[in-house]
Amino acid sequence: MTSDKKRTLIPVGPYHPLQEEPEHFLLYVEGEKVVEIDWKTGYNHRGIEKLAEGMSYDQVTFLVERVCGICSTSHPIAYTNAVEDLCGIDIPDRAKYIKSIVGELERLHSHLLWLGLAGHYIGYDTVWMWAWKYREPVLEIMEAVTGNRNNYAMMKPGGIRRDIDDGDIPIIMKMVDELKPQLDLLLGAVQDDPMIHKRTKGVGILTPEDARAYGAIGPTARASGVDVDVRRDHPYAAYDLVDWDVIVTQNCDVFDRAAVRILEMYEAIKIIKQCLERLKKVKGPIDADIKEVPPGHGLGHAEAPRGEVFHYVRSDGTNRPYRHKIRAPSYCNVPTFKVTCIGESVADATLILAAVDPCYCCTERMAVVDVDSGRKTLGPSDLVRLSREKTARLRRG
Amino acid sequence: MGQAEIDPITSLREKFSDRIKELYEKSEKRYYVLIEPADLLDFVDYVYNHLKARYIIVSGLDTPKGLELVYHFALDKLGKVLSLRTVVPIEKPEVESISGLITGAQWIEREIMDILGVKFLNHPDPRRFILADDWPEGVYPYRRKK
Repeated sequence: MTSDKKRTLIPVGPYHPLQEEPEHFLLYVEGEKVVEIDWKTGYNHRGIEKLAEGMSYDQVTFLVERVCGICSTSHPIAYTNAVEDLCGIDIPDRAKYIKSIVGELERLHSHLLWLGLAGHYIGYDTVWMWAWKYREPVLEIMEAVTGNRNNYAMMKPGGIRRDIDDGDIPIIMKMVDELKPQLDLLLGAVQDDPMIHKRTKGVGILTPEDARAYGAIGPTARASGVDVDVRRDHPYAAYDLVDWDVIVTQNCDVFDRAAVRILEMYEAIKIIKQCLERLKKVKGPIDADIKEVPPGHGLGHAEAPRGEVFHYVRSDGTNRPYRHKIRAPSYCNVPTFKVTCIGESVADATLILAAVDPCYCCTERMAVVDVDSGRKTLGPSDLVRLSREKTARLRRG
Repeated sequence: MGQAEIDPITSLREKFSDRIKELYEKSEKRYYVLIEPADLLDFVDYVYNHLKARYIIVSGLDTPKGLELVYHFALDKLGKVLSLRTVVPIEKPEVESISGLITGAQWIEREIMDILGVKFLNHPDPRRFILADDWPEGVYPYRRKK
């Protein structure tokens, strides 16, 4: 960083109506190169942790379902795990399988959503249209299982709220089976396209050391060779009762973050099918009765599509939490931009920001400000254009 | 990068025997260790760098005894979670920042500073994080009314 070079500030965010997490990134650039990055958040702080203190344990499940619009079931899963840990109870097996089915369906639709956006971003709209087309049947399966396409309201402390009818299992199984060839198509599209390789390989390197120092989790960490997945490490629901693999890759770049997500979708299908199969045999209640919540501590994890969701509940023995702390995965994954974006070009920085899967649409709010005059030099949507232009340039030669 | 072979809770107990105020084993997977704020850095250093635990997050809460900070660490290989608890007095809510040891803790420390008014000493970047720029000084939304 020499002083004679002119620094420009690129603010990204903070708001976009499609965004569940408004955030503000400040990219400091010299020419094309990002030299410094800062992060501000809290624009849409809803005080959910505070609201939880005024609700009964049962009501909080519905509240935390609204923490995130995309992975809306991860928070109830982590929260109910925390309350069950606090009460020291184990839930019935049938509830465990259904918990896993809902969790994995959510991973499928969330990863497809991300993949589509990533494709659009680098100017590969076919991937975008395919991914979103194939996401639709996943939502339909979700509707068949839970009654809702989003905000499923399936979890409750001690179990789940609705059972799956035996008669529905073959239908759901058939729908899940039909997903696999579509995933093959997407996997092929990403694996074989030289342009995707050029745009994403070796871009946005997150070393395993940095991943650990920032507490990164989920696909962001697993693409950097960090073998961490709370489904296996801190088993909950039915993840220790079925056979599946944790996907870990070693290249630490954006390509691997995409690859981990695609390969995880195959694992998700594997888990769902096994759980559905077991449901035919495992009968019984779907919830354990919680009469009283004792004073003390409760911790719960859930592996959301973006990484570990963590809930801490402190009870004073009343029917409401004394304190309820929520840690979403992006809280730890987002700051890794401090290391992954530095030295990269602006067109790649947007892709790196997106590869963590935190806040995509922010870029629509993007403006470039000349630090000296404060004048805007680039309007909204220009960042997407920059990224897409780079792909077009590469394609030409 | 593997986590230590010997049982981490035993090794923690041996290393800091006289400095552990209370060790509560909620279950075989959940440990809560109450410590003095002055010992925090030693404990975090040991848990993070020696036991190779994964940093999860810090929870802050207002209790009748003072402002309590709970530092959660995951021992992933063993499926356990170790939480270090420390209580700082509300009259002088100060504690050393752990961001020097764990880079990723900067942001949660800034958040706790905003919502509970805990001062993290030697924090690399102690600016406001989630509160609005025009939020009044000295008002902490997560403190309880006495």
